[in-house]
Amino acid sequence: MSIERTRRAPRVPVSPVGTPAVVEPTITTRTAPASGVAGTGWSADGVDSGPRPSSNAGTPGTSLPAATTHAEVTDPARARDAAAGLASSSDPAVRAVGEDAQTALARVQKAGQLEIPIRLQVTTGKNNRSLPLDVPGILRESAPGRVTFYPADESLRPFDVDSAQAAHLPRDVPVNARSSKKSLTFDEGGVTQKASLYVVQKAAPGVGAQQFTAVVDLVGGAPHARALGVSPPVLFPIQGAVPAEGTVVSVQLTSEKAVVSGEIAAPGTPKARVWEVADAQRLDAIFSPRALEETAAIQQAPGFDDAALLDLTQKPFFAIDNPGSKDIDQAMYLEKTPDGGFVLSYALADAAYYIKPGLALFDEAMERGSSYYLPGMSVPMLPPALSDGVISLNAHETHRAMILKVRLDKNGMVQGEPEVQRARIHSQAQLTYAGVSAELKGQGRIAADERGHAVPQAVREQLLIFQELGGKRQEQARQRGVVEPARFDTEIRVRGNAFSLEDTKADYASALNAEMSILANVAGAQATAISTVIPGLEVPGIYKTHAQPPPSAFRALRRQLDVTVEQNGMPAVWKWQKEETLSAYVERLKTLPTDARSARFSIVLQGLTVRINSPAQFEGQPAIHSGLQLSHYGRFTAPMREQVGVVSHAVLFAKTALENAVRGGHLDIATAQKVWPHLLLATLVDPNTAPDPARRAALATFAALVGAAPSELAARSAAVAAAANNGLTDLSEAEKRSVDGVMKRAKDTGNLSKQRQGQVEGAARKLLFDDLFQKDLGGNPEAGHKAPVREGTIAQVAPGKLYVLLDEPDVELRLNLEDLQAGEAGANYVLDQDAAELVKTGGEPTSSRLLVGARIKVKASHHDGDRLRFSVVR
Amino acid sequence: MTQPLTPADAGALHARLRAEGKTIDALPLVAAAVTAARLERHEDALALARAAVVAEPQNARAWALIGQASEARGALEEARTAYEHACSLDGHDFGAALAAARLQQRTGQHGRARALCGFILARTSSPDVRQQTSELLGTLGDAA
Repeated sequence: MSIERTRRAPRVPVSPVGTPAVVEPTITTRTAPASGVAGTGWSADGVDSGPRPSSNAGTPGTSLPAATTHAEVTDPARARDAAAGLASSSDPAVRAVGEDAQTALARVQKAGQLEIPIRLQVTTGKNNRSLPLDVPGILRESAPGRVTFYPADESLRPFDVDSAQAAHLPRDVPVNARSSKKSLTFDEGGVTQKASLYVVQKAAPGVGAQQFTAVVDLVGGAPHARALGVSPPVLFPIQGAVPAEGTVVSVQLTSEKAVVSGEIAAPGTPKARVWEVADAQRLDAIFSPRALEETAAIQQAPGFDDAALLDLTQKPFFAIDNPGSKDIDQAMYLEKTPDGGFVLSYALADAAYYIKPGLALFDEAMERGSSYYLPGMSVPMLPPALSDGVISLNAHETHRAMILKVRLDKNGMVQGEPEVQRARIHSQAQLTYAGVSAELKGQGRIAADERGHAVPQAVREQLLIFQELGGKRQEQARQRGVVEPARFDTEIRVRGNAFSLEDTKADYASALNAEMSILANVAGAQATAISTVIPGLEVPGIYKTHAQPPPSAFRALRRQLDVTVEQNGMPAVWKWQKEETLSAYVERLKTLPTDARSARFSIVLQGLTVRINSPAQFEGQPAIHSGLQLSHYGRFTAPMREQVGVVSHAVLFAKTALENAVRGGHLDIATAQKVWPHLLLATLVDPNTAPDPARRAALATFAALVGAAPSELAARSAAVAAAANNGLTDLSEAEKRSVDGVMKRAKDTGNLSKQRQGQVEGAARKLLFDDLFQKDLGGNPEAGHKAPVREGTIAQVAPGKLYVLLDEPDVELRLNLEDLQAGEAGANYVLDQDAAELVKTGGEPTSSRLLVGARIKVKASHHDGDRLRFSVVR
Repeated sequence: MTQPLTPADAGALHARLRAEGKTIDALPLVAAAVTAARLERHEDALALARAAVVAEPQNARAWALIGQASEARGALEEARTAYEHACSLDGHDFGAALAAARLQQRTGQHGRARALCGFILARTSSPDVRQQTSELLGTLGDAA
């Protein structure tokens, strides 16, 4: 029996779904505060006066949760209501608190300064969030003369709209309330209030596709198909057969009605639950018709026969990825030099050639930021026809690639500058990490690649060079001081009707491959940031940086490690020795365990050493990546999965083209320096946005330099020089802003999508935990008293939080203050012992210690509807 | 008003409120307390934030405001307890954590202050917070 998951609340019944009507464009309305508004004297605050809202005292008969829907409302009345609520308590102590608050409010308000300028977060269940831009839903007559908007998102409260102006709006069909991003101030009882304005539109925005994936959802009691992953969510009434609510379906649109063309996942199945996560994270799986048209055009003319490409199709490139991977960003070809050195030619999918500014594909990739990965499915940044097809470096097919060529000496040290080439390759094998690991460790020969082809001998020879170079680079990393705790490659997968955590057993080959990838990212970053050909060239880039922790953080870590070792009664050999580098200490920790207990202790200490690092970020300037101990680090290796890669490639190709023109003697340095900002503009901004035909023509001339074949370079350089000498001036301020804007947006979207992927993974972990521990509660969310006791090791502590590495299954749990309190509201848990111990303060004294590295017993306590909770067994 | 309100007190009062079947929205009280604190009306801020934690004992922002107002009034023990509670509820509020560490130091709890500083240094990426935390650690015997 599975744990009951939170289900959507049923909507109020509505009349049958009607046909959308053409209506007056908009009306204005506002979100309604929970307490209702009986204001007078509305006045505009930068917007036209809107209609006075009707009061919303709640809709009789609804079972909708009374979540507040206003995020940016200055509403002293609500504060007064809250204080009055406390002051009306029958309990004298509560009443006193409420009366004090009332007095304080009155005093502050008397001073005429009761502004509440902070952004209030809307609390809806367990999640805090701000008001959405779009709120789809339906309009219906909730009472005679009263029109109410029912949001499709059940966490938002219905609100009334002005019935006179709503007269022209359709009832009982999907409509959309879009935030005007404006606020309205009004007077209520002499107090100025502020509310967000929403505009109800005639229909929800379309999904931009005739076929899409949706979930069957009852809105107002009527079955609708809600497009999954689309932000804002979009509803279509279902015509024909209606599967059960919660079923994930494929849908065909016909005259704004959804016809279910197939069932993808039954309600409650792992597949449906993953789709639910994707939907909750607003991972948009649907591409616009324009993007799909552009995709079709690319498929028709993929540019594989481009004369500008260096032909490397005879070289035995190969790729290593996870089993079943379809979007192959990288392939490589390695050579040994006579002096024992290496040449790495790292091929990257040439996404920048296809995904250009001005295309919907570019805009949508910028919007998504990256591809997202969930158990058993992914939501790609580019249409699969591109990311799995034309652009992907699929084995046994010819494709375009950016080649980053790096020369290294026999010790694996980089020699000279990297080369950047645009080439045509024909990868000869698509291998898996597990297969390569087994082959290189002599544990099994790869029978065939992922596409069923025999692995050529040339590729097998490549693997040996890959192993040798990878090993040398790992040694280089250790010498740089890179801290590498033991890797545990696990993946959440769908097995049968549940999620499971599986060891991918890919550590060896993936670690070697990571070194190649790092080399390519360093090469790309250096090639972008440094130009020895055109001095003083200012090249914008996107770099991955990772701030070095301050010395005080290392000292604090040393104390924490010392205390952890001492308090657990472990020998001093487990301590981080003076004069020992952190990297060497971590390597030594891997060798110390003699039994299961000390193996866990080693993992815990290794974990502490990396927790002093703050997350890496994309930045606009090169800076140290302390995790890798590198001065320049970019992100070139995932151009089909990260928009940062697309933009980084485009800039680097432009720079390389200009350098090639100078190297070839076709352009002088001064002209190149003068042309560069314009070439950058032509590379990063849609040339069609240029103000006049002459400017567009000039930009096209500059852009043509990037795609020049060797035989064309002289002529195109001459055209560039002519354009430069034809009164070319500096970029306008607007043009500079455009270039800066693209770089900034790509950087920001890169950072944002990383956070989003983290949220997706967090949500996937919740699914995993629900399944891993579902037997513990026996299907009853409240049956914690019957749950079995599980043992583990305390992996880390934080104020009010405890992290436990379980023995079985091999996962880390987090217990929050609420879990630790176990009903004892006054108890708090503060850090002590140099952050090696969590100490209870307040509440009943306890003798049990919560010490990092110590053994601990925990058990599932309950499921709160959002996630499984655990408690400490004292 | 002069008696400190501990997390245990807030939990108990909240339980009584719930027993009456009352649910009070803490957000507008927190917002009003923010306004009062900005105006340096510490007594008012404290009263409003206390009301907020009775309404919602898990509200980290309200506990941080109690800490801020109590510290301004010189009630260091109440301030420390409130800040400690705030950072236990919200591990990302490094401002509250740093304030808690400072008060731990001022109230003689040097070991805990040092532990909290170590935690902040390991988690924050803010150069400013790191700098302030390092300086505080320096006063706690953080030998180089």
